[in-house]
Amino acid sequence: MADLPPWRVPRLVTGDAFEQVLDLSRVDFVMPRGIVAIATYVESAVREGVAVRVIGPSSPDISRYLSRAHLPHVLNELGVQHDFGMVRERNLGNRLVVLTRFSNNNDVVALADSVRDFAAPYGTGSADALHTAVCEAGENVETHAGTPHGYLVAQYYPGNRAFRFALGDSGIGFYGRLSQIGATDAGHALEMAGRAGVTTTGDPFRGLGISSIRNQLVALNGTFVLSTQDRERFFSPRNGEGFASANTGNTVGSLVYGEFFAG
Amino acid sequence: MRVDVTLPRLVGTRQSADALFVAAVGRNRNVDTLVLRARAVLNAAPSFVDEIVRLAEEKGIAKVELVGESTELHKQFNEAATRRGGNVEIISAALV
Repeated sequence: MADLPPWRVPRLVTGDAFEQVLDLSRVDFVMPRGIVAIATYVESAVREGVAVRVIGPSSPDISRYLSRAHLPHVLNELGVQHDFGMVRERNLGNRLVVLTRFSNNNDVVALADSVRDFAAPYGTGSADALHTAVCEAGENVETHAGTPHGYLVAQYYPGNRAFRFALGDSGIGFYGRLSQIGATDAGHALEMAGRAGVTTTGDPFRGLGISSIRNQLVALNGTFVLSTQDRERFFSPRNGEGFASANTGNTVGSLVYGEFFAG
Repeated sequence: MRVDVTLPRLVGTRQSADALFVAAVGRNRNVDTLVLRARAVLNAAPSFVDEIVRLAEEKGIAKVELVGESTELHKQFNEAATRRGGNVEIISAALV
């Protein structure tokens, strides 16, 4: 089965500058990063005045999963036509933090607190890592992205005791921001973003957010990925400095995602 | 003059640090020690800690005194203060 990685979103789109169809009918596996990528893509298109229509997955399981993850709720909020059916809400316990839009510091703080509670039964290390990630990456959206909204999804996979989370926005992206201080392209911007102390604020002691997320996830034997446009940078215990990947397509704005193990 | 603040159990963003600092210190220019009651803190994101230290330095506050803090939180404050040039001293409250 294939995941729906963020770079596949544009490939699932047909249409023109006025009307676009996002066809998810053949999607057979989705992870948090795919859900956030859909939300940021659709938000960006709507902001440009494009009428977007979303065709839901033909797989009932995938369709239900996306509904339980509240993708249709966000599509409704964005005024987007879709054909997701109704599902019965049920308590998902500490398995899924549904697609949540945040718009300001209060939202980020509340979301970070609730995400920590979500992860706490599986260990304080993972709970703290998620809390730090949402605080740092979430605050970056309001401060740096040039868009008021960001999106988060997090999920716990009991089979391998892994957490996956994704946080993204449809703003100017890493390159749009870091080109102000010398980034020459999207790949260079991601390399800069992963380094401690790189900041556009003018305060030479800032720029710790992204690197602190990376450090915490790597310490939990996890991986962390920065994505923008057609580039990614992948960090792991073996590659603490990260390595570039061009094996991507087109991430709207900025997307960070991580996977790590309960601890 | 000492100013006393109780930190919540989770602290994370620069904006939260700004709000907390403004509420505690405001325009008071006579503060030499910022006392942070940190017994409840479970996790602190680095930007929150750095922002507290930055603001303390900006306001000429010489000491940040932590009360009941974890080893990790003390280390975070120390690292932030060192990174910013060591102008703010981080101390633990003496046990009495």
